[in-house]
Amino acid sequence: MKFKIRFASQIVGIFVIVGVLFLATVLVLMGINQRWFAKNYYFKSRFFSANGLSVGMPITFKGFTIGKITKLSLTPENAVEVDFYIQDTFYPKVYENSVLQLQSNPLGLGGGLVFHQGKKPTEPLPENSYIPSLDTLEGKSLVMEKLVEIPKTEDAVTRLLGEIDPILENLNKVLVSVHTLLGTVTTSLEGRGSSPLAGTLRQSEKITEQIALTTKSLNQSIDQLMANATGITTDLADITHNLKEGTEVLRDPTGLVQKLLDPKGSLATFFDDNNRLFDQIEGILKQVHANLAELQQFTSFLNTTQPRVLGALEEGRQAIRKGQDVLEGLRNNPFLRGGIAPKQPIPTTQQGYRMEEVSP
Amino acid sequence: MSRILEHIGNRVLMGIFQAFYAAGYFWEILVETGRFIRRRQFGYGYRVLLMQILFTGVEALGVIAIISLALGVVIIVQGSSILPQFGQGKLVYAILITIITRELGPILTAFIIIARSGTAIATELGNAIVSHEIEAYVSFGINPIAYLIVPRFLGVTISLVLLNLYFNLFGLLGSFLVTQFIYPLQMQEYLFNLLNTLKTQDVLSSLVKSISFGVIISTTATYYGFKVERSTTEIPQVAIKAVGRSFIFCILADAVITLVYYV
Repeated sequence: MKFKIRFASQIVGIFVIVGVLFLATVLVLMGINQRWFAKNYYFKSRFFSANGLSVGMPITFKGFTIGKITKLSLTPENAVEVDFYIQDTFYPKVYENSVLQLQSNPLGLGGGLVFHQGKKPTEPLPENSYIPSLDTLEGKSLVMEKLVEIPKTEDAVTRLLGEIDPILENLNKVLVSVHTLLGTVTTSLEGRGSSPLAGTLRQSEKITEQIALTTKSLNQSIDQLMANATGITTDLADITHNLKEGTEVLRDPTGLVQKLLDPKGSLATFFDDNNRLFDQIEGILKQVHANLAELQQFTSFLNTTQPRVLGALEEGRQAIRKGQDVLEGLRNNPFLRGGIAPKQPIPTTQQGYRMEEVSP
Repeated sequence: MSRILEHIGNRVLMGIFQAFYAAGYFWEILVETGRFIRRRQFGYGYRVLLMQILFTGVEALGVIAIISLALGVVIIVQGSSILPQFGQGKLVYAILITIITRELGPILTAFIIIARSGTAIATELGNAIVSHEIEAYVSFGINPIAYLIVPRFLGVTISLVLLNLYFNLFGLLGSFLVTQFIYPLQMQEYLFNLLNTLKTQDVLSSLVKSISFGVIISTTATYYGFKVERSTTEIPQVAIKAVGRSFIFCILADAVITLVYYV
């Protein structure tokens, strides 16, 4: 008979016993590991909201799981009542003034329900006692009275996010400042607002207008002066012509003497013309005198006008210089129009063919 | 048209009749199983039960061990090397338990039993009918269901439960030992995490599945084995039907139990 058939009972017996033993061992180990037979001490707490809480959620103390939430319920006062247990091994650590804190992590990492032990060692709280949470006034007052110490969270993500917040705030401020600055610059460039730049631009605009007006009036004055000067010059030319003619007549002695001596000549005529010639000469002299007076007046006018013209020209020159400075400042400002426009190289015709290949 | 309707009607009536017949057959098995356990007459059918466990359970142990070991090693090695990169190293235990204990353990064991014992039972019973053995039992006043079916029913079910336990033993612990050669892990840490992850529901789900599959396979195989009427050519046909139906019923039962487990 085959061995297997002969010892079938034994083989099957071993097969069954090993299997059952394995199952029993696993169940016992599970029971020990998951504390099926250990005593738990039940407590109550209250929270503002059930967000972040769930049945079966572990309660930790210094990183150790010391208990779990067993029930969540909403009270008639709309508070969230939490029933939980603490394992028997950690029960002696439940001092008076202990509190619960729900630590949440924005990224869903870490966090959980944390047990904070009361500072003063006491007998453990009796079962079914109320342990306040930090959501409640009782819990907060225990912290304020320093009856329980809440250590700072060591969660790296929360700490990092806490450090990012001020940086973001600063960045926000900078952006607001830049926005305001750009607004001011735009307003100033449009000539509105009360900034010095806007004032300068407005002033330069006025100065330019004044220069234009001054130049216009100056041109008119110069035109008038030139017209006067032309008239005077014509008169002087006439006088000069007359004098020239007189001089030429005087150069001819025969003619002049003859004319002078001739009873019908000029001299006789001069003396016997009832002061006609004399009057004529006198008139000419008076006209010359008047012309000279007018010339003197024109000269004095020119002398008085010259400083004003010079002043206006100087003022215009300064205004143009100021305007030039302002435009240069605006052109150099990196916030405007993308800064200084790159300079385009001007190709020269005096360059050799190989120069383009060598130059960068 | 009327012939088509007649044909459809006949098929439906036949299906209903067969369903009732199968239900009655299953009820008969349960009744006889109850009697078998109550009588405690280990001589009567005990040997058949013992042999059934030997053939179905002990002889399939090697295949089960190899499959579960390989599966466990793959899960541990892959999980331990990939999952820690995502900070989810402990997820390997949950995956192990989900695959080995809750899902693949029972269903793979069931498939192996279908392939090995389902066909064997259907063929054996078909041969018994063809050789008029069943008539002989009846003529001697022996209930063939009590003598032939109940030990097989119990034997397959018990074997499947035990093989499922062995599948877990090899898949969870044996694979750990094998993994030590490739990817050393601390024994204490491994067992602690495994037992912490393993829940009572997992064990219950696994046991319920293996019991259900055992019942399904044994009932289906014996039912189709008894379907043979007179010719030996019917035997392979019923064996194929037994295997096919067993697969379908097991997968459906697995889906239902898993749904119940999650709902």
